[in-house]
Amino acid sequence: MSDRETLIELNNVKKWFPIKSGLLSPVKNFVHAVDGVNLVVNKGETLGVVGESGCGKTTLGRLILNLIPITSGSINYNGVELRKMRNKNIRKKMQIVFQDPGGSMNPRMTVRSIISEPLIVNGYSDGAEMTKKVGDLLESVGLKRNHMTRFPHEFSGGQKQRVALARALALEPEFILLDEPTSALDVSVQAQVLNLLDVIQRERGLTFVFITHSLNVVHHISDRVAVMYLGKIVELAETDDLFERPAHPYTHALLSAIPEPTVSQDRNERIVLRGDVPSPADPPSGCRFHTRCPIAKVGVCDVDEPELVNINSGHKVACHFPLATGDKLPVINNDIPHSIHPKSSTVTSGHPDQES
Amino acid sequence: MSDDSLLKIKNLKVHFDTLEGPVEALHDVSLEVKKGQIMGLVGESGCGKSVTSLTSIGLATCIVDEGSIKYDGKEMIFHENKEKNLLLLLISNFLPYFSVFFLFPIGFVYLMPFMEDPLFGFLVIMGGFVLIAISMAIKFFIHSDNREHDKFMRYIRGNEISMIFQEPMTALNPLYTVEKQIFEVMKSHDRLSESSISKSTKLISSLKSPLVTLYNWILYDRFSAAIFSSLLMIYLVVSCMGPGLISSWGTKIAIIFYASAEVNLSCYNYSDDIIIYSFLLIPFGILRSSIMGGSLFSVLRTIPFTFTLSLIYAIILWTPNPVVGTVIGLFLVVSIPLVIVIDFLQLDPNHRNQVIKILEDVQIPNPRAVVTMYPHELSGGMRQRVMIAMMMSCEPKLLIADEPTTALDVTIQAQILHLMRDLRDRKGTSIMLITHDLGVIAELCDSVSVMYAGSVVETGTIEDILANPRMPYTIGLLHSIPKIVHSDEREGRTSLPIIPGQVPDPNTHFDGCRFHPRCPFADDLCRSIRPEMIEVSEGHYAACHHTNLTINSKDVESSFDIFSKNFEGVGGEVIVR
Repeated sequence: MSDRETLIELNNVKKWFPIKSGLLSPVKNFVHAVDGVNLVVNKGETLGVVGESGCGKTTLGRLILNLIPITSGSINYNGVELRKMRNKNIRKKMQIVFQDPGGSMNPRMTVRSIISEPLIVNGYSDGAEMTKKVGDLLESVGLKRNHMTRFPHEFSGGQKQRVALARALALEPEFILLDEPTSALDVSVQAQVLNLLDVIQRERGLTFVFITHSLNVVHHISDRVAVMYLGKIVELAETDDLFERPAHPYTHALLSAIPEPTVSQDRNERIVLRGDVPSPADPPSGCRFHTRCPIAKVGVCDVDEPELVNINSGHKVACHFPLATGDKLPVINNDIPHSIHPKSSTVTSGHPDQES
Repeated sequence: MSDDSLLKIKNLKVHFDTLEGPVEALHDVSLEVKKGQIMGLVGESGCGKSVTSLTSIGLATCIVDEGSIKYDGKEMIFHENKEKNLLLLLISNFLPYFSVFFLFPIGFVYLMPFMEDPLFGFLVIMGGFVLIAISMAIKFFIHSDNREHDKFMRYIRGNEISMIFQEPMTALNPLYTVEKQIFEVMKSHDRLSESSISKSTKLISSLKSPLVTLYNWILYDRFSAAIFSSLLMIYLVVSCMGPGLISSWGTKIAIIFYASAEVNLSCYNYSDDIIIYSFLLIPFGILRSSIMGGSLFSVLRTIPFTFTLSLIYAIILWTPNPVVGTVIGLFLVVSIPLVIVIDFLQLDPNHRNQVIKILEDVQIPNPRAVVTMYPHELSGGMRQRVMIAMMMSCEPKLLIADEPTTALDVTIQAQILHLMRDLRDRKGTSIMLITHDLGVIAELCDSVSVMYAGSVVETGTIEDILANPRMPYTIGLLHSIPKIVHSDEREGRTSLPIIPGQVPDPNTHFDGCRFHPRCPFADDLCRSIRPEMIEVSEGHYAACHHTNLTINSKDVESSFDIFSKNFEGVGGEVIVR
């Protein structure tokens, strides 16, 4: 895929949100939501971004769309720096579909006005032609033409997501950011929406960045996958490569934590990570994953921060001790309660332990 | 059936009364949870999973039409016997009308000034009230069965059956600490151990508490030290200004006690001086707070604070004394009893240890710190653990978990599932796990029931359902989950298999199978006759007319693929409301 044209390029992108306390006090600390991300999105591909909640996936997506300003670094779109482009031009090229389809639509607007709004803002005139265009859009996402007079509450979740997609497609963008579009949907509806996305991408040659926490979905839809942990990309590889030869212990644990609907004997033999993701306001030193990593070595992992390096063609990983193919992580004694595990007191979520 | 069934739901049919008429939520639900078993209930949203669980602990607001729920052999649904007390019910309903429309008017007429016998009128009105009281007593008597059932359900909830809800944040009270909430559950279910302090000792210590609080306030807080020192300074300033001011203060106090219009209020002339003098407090306050420790920066930060404080003092001294006195008096009257009461209501150390022990049981790291936290300070996984801890504190025999991991990440979900299995293994708690994620079911459950549109369509062991499903809906559901397969098995990116169409609206009437519009095998039989649960193999039931066609799941999957291609209007169907 390296021969493909680059569409979006992120160079050391950072987003720090200030934590303010009190009226007279200055900024106390920063939430390192996205902390130095280098990423290339190629034309026509689907890049999956996976990670637990609070790891900065959504922030990254919003940065790509210039919905929030970046703290440092640069984002190039087609070779032009995003900050120098006008917002109106950015929106014509890049669109977003949000997680909660009901929440992203005005309940008092009909579907027709929801879909035609971006067009009217961009200078199209409202009239019979618009009605035809909206009807075409609705048909392209598997809804009927006469649905344009309805209000959002008259649709089911999957259909609302279809309307949101039609709105995103209205300006014929080149790039769509999908921020967990199926996580609010049922399995069977999710399958319908994913198929629709696939069809639309092939028909229109779109580029997708698909943000999700569901690894099954990302495996199905993505060409490449980036795994995020605490504001950093820890592994970036082509989908098959990542799922068959995960090199980062975090990816390994994530893959092992997927509950699969099959009967298997090794129910207990999965890697259960201890504790929660540490607070991004106070990220651990060295490798950010070392507090939960089963193979972390004292003196290396908690001191040096690993760089994202190429270990295979196009397979990048940020780990001091990347796992080779077939390596198994040591299963930490699942039967020992976390509270009496010697390491667990240092390992847990940022929230309670910050105090102590 | 056998003796080892703990919860048994049979032919449950319920509806909700809404403004647009009844909504039939459950059509025909039969379930069984065995002792020490984890039973999974799976289905898409809107198919009645949560209604089933809520009905079984008597929390649902729906009306049960028929069916029975037996917990350990005891019936949980109360069917009111209306014919038995029909006459009494009629009388009790009639009596209030009689007194209001007949006795009260007569009584009021007799009370009129032109009537001769007001006492008779009074007696008639009293008689009306007595009749109303009698009707209330009859109703109380009629509903005694109902009350007993309520009492029984109250005992069952918590002690025998507990529930974990989907959203831990909305199920926990954001205003109370974790400790308080778990304590409340334990207290109302009599699970608390003996307290270590006697009540009298506790009372004495709480009476002392305002003084102790003041002492700690002055000693340990830098800001309050500043406040206190400036108060002291004011006193010094006032007394240094000589007898003139003191005597005028004396007059002011006199005004409070002997408030009379003639007393001259000229003593306010000193107020300007007092403002100027009170600004002297600033350096003093800084000095005091720097003595208490802290860097130069933090001391400098107190300047605006002290400045504001001295301004407030100036205003207080300038206003007429009765106002100040009232404010201070109110403050004392309200705050001191409050401090005493709060101290008295504080948890016993013994009880706190009990709460901590329960939190340790659910593997919350650092429980000593967690007990004093509020729900918003905890992460999602920890909140869910607190919920589980709350439920486990009463050691129920059955735990109903309503989508316990839906809001959580995969790694945290793995932890919670592991914890739940661990609890089953250690304490033998049966669990009814409600979820829409078949992966979670595969992870945890021993047996599974699949629900579709208000009825159970397939039950069996986990192997039966996942490896050998017989109902087309189950096959389609399993088929439509994106699977992670190796690249050699996966030829490029294929489109995901789907079940075409949507779950029907609960009010749509079907003569036959409720799944037939989405089913590839649907024929006239399916459209006209509702399928019964057929035992396809031992302990494995499926509600389908064509179980002979569904022996090989692969065939069904391919017929689903063909069917969905020809299906009209995928996603085009609008739910009719």
